[in-house]
Amino acid sequence: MQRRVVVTGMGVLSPLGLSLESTWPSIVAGKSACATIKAFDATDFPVRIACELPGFAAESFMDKREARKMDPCTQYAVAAAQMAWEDSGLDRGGFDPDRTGVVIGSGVGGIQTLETQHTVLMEKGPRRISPFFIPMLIADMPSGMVSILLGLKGPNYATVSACASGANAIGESMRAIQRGDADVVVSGGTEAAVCPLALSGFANMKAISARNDDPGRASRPFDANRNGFVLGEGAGIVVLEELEHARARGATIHAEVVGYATTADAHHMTAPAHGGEGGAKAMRLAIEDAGLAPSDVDYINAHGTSTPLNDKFETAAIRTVFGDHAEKLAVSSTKSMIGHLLGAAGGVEFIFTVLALETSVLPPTINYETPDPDCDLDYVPNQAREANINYALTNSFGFGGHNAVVALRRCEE
Amino acid sequence: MADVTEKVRQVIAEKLQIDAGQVTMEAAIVEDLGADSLEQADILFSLEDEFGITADDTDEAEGLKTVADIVAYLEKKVGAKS
Repeated sequence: MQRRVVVTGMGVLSPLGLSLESTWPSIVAGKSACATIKAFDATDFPVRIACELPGFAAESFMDKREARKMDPCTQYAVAAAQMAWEDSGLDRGGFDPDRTGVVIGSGVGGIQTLETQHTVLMEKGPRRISPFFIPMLIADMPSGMVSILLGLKGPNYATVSACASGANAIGESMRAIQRGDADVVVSGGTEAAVCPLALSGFANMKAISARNDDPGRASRPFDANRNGFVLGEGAGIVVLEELEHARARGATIHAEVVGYATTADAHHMTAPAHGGEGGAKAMRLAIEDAGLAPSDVDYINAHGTSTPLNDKFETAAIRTVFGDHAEKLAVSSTKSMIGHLLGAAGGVEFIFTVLALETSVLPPTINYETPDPDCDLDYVPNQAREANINYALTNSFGFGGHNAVVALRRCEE
Repeated sequence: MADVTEKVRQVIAEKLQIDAGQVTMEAAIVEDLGADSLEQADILFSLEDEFGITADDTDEAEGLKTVADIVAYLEKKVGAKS
């Protein structure tokens, strides 16, 4: 019989709060975290807005000496992983380190470290590059540091698939548990790319919104006047556990992970395939993997970036997969509130999907004002909604044409 | 001389996030203060930057064990420069 995988721990650092307890009420209230950038002076940049973490101080989550040797992307992962670990109760024991893994995704890894060390190279020469540069840069270090700090010796690596990295991490972690490679995996995504280099790159490819004078309304997925995503940062980390392992220790089970699929568009570096073909296939395969029919699905946490093409083609993909049932589906994009957390998006949005199942509240898509004929689904506009739902999907699509979809089931206990 | 000692203690304390009081002259960087190989290199590079010298005689630089060793090495280097 197939080993079943459940969620027993969750930890979030989001632009709306430095914990799940502070983030979720703001999501339900429909607040926007987008504002003028504080981390650096963005006056001369074409885009001057982002969703930044509110006052993150690494030393309130970890040893200062350790924190100095970590890029912010690793600090975020460590902080969120600790919260998830405590939520799971495994901090009090009850696991075999050799059968506990860590798989955390990041789109770009330590880009802030790359940026500052390159400046050092140009200004002071090669002898002044920090010996910590490489370990701080590499995108697998979040997984590495979490394993070191929690003492976890099972499967350990990172997934890199741009904005699908977090969802791929969770899906591959589910597979590792199903295969029997591990009983517990700490998984999710992390990103810390609100920095001059990344902001300029995204701005010049016209991917992000330049609504600098009205930041709270810049991220507007599925709205006719959307004009790009808003850069966000943070981490969403979960503890996934084999069902009997969780039951044996009396763990609180937040939800069951029942399906996963990942596909490629094989179409273009950054643009989605026409009609969202790759995303549609990933949704269909994830539903099949879960042993469900499309009509069983009640809610989708959409990729919903607020770019003209993504939202149009994601809507088309949902219509392709669900047919008439699309009229009954609730679809929302929490990126409307926290922006696009890139490699962390799949982790944070997975957690919001778990909470939608667990608390029977669907998070809204805010800033939905003007309908777009190409986006004609129920996007839970502007107001959260109470709804008892049993099955939900979370979609994540990334530059490079990566698509990852995870299916979740509400747990009664 | 006192300046060199004070600066060395400050840099080590900052890099290892410890109290400057712990950085005594007899303290061994690895055994007593707990530095790993990357932290050792980081300390040395910072001191190079601070004193405007280059510790390219790697055998000698890598053999430095205690705070006193580092101070003596730097004083020799800085003296040779002036």
